[in-house]
Amino acid sequence: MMQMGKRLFRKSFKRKQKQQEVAEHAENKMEERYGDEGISSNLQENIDFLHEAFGKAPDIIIRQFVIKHREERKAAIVFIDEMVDKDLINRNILRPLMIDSEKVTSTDDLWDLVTERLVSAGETKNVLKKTEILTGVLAGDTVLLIDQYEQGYVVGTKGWATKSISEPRSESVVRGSREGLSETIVLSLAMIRRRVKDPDLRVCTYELGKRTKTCVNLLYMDGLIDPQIVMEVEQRLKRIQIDGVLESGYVEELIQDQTWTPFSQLQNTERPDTVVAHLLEGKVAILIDGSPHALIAPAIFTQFYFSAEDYYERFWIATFLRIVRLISFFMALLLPAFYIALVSFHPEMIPSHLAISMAAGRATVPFSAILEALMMELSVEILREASVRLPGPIGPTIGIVGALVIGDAAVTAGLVSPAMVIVVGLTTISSYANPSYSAAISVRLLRFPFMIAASVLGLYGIMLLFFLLCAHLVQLRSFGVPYMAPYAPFNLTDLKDSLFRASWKYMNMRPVTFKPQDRQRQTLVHKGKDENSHETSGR
Amino acid sequence: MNIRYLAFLFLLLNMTYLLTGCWDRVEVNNLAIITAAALDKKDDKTIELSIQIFVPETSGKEKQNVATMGNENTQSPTLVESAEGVNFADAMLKLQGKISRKIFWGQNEVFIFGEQLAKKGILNELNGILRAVQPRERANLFISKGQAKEILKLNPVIDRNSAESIHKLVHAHTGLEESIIDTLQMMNGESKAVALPWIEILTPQDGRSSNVRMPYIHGTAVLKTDKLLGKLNAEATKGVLMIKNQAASGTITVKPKPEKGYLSAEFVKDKIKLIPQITKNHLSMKLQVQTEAIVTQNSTHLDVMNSHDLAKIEKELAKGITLQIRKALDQGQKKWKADIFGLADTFYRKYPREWKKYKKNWDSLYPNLKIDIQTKFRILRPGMTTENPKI
Repeated sequence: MMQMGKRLFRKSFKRKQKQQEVAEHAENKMEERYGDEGISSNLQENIDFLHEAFGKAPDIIIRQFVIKHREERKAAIVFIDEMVDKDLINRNILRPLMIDSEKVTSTDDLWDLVTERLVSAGETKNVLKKTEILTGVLAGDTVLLIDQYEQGYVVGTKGWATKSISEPRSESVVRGSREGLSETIVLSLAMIRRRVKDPDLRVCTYELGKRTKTCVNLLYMDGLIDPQIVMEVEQRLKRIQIDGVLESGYVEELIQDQTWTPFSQLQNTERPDTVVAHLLEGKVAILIDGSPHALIAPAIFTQFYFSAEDYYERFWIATFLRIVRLISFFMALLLPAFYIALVSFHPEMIPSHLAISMAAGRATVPFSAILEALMMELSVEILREASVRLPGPIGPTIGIVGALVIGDAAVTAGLVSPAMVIVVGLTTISSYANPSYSAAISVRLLRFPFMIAASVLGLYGIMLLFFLLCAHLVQLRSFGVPYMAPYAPFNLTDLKDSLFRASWKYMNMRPVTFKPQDRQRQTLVHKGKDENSHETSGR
Repeated sequence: MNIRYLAFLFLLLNMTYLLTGCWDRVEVNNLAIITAAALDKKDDKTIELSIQIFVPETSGKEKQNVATMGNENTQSPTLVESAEGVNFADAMLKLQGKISRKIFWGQNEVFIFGEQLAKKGILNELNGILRAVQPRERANLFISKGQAKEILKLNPVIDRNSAESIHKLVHAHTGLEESIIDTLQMMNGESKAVALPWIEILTPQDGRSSNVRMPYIHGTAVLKTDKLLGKLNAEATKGVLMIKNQAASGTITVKPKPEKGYLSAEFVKDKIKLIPQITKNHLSMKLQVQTEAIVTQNSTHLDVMNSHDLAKIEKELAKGITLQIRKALDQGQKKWKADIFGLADTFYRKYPREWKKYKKNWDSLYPNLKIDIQTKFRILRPGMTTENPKI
């Protein structure tokens, strides 16, 4: 067996090598095709090149015009329709070049005149290579080409229609900001910047995806975060060789520590305030252009069960809600399994009256408990999946028909026991009490193995699987941080923000789990006494 | 190495369910859930085992009514079936042969022995019950007047079945509560005697048909070794409950001497301490009773709010309690000569070495054992009103 394993490993290693070669090939594709070719001095030649490169795409607009200054000189601007701010092009490029150029009296070289005095745009760049024209145009900039000059002038004119800032739909709160991150990365970045007015907020930019060239920003607080984490994340990001990155999920899967686990090791959030909170705890945030979800790394198990609101409401409420969520976590995970185990293996453990009621309820049910539970769980999953796809207005109607009518009919017909309907209903509701959708899915998945274990071994099976699950969770790591921290390894001070949230007054230190360089969160160390009330009473 | 380890783990995990297996998986709805069991003497050699089975179909189900689980006011949700056998195990086997579903003892909390069988001795059958895996040793044990089977057949209208009625009565603490394991411990202990609740059938007084009769606990059965000797009445049972520290609540009524009326008090807390003493080869027993109570009725001229009167009242009530306990002790000591209070065990516990000497003569020592009762009575609250109107 060892031999086989080694062979397998060697094989996979070879495959990896091959993959790497393929990747390098793809990277050089653009340069291979167009070479290191410089921009031609002949404008027509350049235009022909662009036509060829874009395959005469209808949205590529090449506007040819004449600059009249001392002599007439042909010129052209290239941009992609609807990706640019047309107003800006008209006012700051076309108008000065076509009209104002006549009035200017200068002995300067035309190129210098155009770039230094005529084009009035903030973000500009001189380019020499043909490939640079392509990347500029594709990014939404406008490229100015002038006949007889072997260079191009890239003017930043990015300006496309964006959705206005909307509420974060998957993480809505009662108390707290209603702003959600935007699909446009610069907008998201601005939202975060607005919340942390600190020059220590570092933003590193990466371009991921060979073909999509998606802009990815890595954010962290310099001098606060553990540099090891930044290094690790950077390394993993640089290793990505995929052709396209369309959503944060791509990056999450490509940089996570362990693939074979139902638990997510990076948190995703739509809330800029949540991103900032994590940055301040010494974590990194990854923004991906085109996705309103930011990734937070490293992530620990407990943080998936915390809502942003926990930190905004008073700590009593937060603590209570966290306990409720813990209960709902266990209900979502174990309730159907417990039902199966009790009904089919341990009827003596059910209180007498309940046992009799359950027996009465199950009298006409033609299936065994496990089959009944699996069927019901599956139908609920179908219902849940269908309700996501359903068009808005009819969604609730179908939900009612599916859940109430079918459920009630099944019970009346004696196909399902009423207790089972309660169990399934509670389980479903419980799984939605979880603030993180991705963490809720892992619980939804794990429910099924637990149900099967319960049907085979009863309560013993549940315990067995639970121990396995615990062992798995304890060995998980997210960017070097133990997944079950601060419980395992145990850390007393970090328990201030675990199942119980201490008042902000007493959380003077940042969680040690993420090894922040600067541990102090607030300088004032409160000691037992209520200083605020003391102050006011003194007055 | 990794693959080898995983394969090993996989095999190990497979073993866990192959070796244990789900063969003993039985769904709740395939069980005949026993709510109560009764044992009677059939003839000199055989016994009759009767069981009350919960019938799910007829309970609260008019087809549409399934959804409302556990509908309480329905008729005859139970079935009584019985089988004869030379002993409990034999009868159980024969009973299973009669019933299509698997008999499930796990929920049974009531075992009733008929009067006749109890006179013969219950230990042999208790052995069978305790040895079987399913029946709970914490199930309650009762002795019934006449045939125990009759109790199972009762169909009380206010409860779902007679087993439930009995169970609720036990929790009301009107009679003793003795589980199988307690009983066996008493029998195996030094006392060799046990007191069990005595069940009778109560006929409703409103002239309704006789099939709505209810079981009720009325008095205490006295068993020496494992044989039924006789019965204590309800009045003596009160004393037994107090001595065994099982009286959760109770009322005492006294007639203070010079007064005309009565005074009643309901005790909220009573604690009794059995203190055995051996002095110079002489055995004696001290009972320390501590009772706290609320005045529930006062038709005397004594004022509860007056400390002088209060002391008097408390003294009178203490006397009443002492009398009640004395009655129970006399019944046990003098009438039946059975140590149902477990006094021998207290001696053994306090004087394990000396006890060996007295163990053999306990039967002769016990009826003449000097028992000193010291009662402390305290009135906690005078009730909702304090003063009686002066007429």
